[in-house]
Order: sequence, then C-alpha cells, then structure tokens
Amino acid sequence: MDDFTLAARVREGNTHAFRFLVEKYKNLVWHMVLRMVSQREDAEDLCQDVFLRVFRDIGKFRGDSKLSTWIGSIAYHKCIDHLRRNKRDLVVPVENYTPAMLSKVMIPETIGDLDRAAIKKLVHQIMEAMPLQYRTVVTLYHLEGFSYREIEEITGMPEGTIKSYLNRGRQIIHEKMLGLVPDIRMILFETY
Amino acid sequence: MNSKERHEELKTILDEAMQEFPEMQVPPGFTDALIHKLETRLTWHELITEFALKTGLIIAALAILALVLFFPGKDIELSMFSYLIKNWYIVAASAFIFFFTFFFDQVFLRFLFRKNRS
Repeated sequence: MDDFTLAARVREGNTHAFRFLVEKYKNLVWHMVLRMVSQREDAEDLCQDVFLRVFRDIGKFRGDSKLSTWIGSIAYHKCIDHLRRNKRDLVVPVENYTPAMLSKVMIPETIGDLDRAAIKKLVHQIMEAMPLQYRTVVTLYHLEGFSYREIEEITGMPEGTIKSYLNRGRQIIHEKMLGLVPDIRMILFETY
Repeated sequence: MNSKERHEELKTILDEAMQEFPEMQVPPGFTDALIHKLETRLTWHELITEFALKTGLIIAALAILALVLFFPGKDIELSMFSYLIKNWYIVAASAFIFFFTFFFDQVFLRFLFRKNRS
C-alpha cells in the first residue's frame, strides 16, 4: 500500500490502516524522539502523542511531501515543544560547546579494548552528548537517510544551516574520538 | 593492513555507527498500547458528541415549547412562568439532576459497557 492510499484509509478512521502506519513509522519516530529528548521515560509518551497527532491531523496531509517527512516534522515539533516546556536548552551555540558536555562518555581503558563494537559504542555516546541541533541533523541524515531538502521540511532549518550542522557534527565526533582516545590518531589522520 | 586501509576501515565503522541505534528498540507492545489509547479517545469523542447532540435537541424542544406557551399570553401560562422564575433554584436543581443522570447513562455507563465488551 502506498503512502497516499494509507493516509486516505487513516483519514476514513480505519484503525487497521492506522496500526499499519504506526508499524511502518514507529522506528523513525522512536529514534527521533529518543535522540532529541534523551530520556526513555518521556520518549514513549511523546511517541504516542506524535501518532495521536498524526491520526488527528492526517486530513492536512496533501501528499506534497513524503509521509515519512510529514510524520518526522510532527515528531520534531512535538519534541521541541516538550523541551521548551521542560525548559531545556534547545540550541547550544557552537562557541559554547565544551568538552565538559561529554563528561558522561565512557572511555575504553586501553586501545586494545577499542574493537569495532567499542568504537561504535563510543560514537553513539558522543552523539548522545552532542548539542540538540547536531544530533538531530546527524540522526535524520545518517540514521533515517533523509536528504537535505527533507530535513529542511522536517525542521524548518535552511539547507545551509543543515549542511553546516552536519559537517560540524561529524567534526565533533572525529575531534572527540581523537581527544578521548589519542592513540586513534595513528589511524585517523584526516577528516572526511 | 596499512595506514590507508586502517583509515578506510575506521571511516566505515564511523559511518556504520552513525547509521545504527542499537540499544534503543521500540518498547514491546507499543502499537497495541497506542491503538488502545486511540480507541478509548475515539469512544469518548463519539459518546460526548452524541450526548451534546441529544442535549441540544432536548434544549431546542423545551425552548420551542416555552415559546408556544408564552406567546399566546394566557393568564394561566404566564402565572406558570412567573412561578418558575420565582422558584428558579427548583428548576436549576431539576435540570442539573436530569442532565447528570442523562450524562451518566448516555456517556459514562456506555463507555464502561464498551470497555468491558472489548
């Protein structure tokens, strides 16, 4: 079933179609919400709220964009509202980003421990500790595979800003990897 | 493995890492819980809408009845209105009891019945 037909069925109030939609997009919403909010206990309620909003507002979906982009946009704005309500810092300026924000990252004891899985775990921990705007853009681009244009539709950020956050996000991961595990410099001698 | 190959290997690992979210699976039963929540909301919405429509119809019928009785202006009907206006608290209490019972029967009991049935 294509997205437009699926949306039409949900619009008719078909809960079976809605169940199908939830199954199809629950990973997208879960990843976005968890990366943005970083608190598992809030994430489940927020995800439910996102899908209830999707059901309520499905009539507004005209098919101009992909359904995933439209749902992603609802999830993004729900998270922003949630963070605003809880008075958490929404955007951390680049100049204010300090290594202290990475204090919760677990550093492997020796370079010998740094196998493939350990490197990935370290990257995930660095990403979790990154400022909201970077981890959101990196998640949407790398994890969910959205294009710059789609990320622009979801977040409302200009394409230039998205590219800048994405590059800076990657740079932060590299810098922190080098900072946390200096021995890695031997193999990571250039950025990509 | 030379340094270039090791660098490529690390680059691949970093790319893969950014494309994964390993320990964060959607909680089991998420969809069922969500659908249950949605159905509960839809049931409430349906019952409240029906209640509002029925209440609206009853109020409209009473208003029409009052107009029909009031406009001919016979003494007996006017005295009945003045009695009702003087004893407004009896009218208000009766209306409150009526609508509370009506709400309980049409919304709350029906909701519990549907919930038990499902």
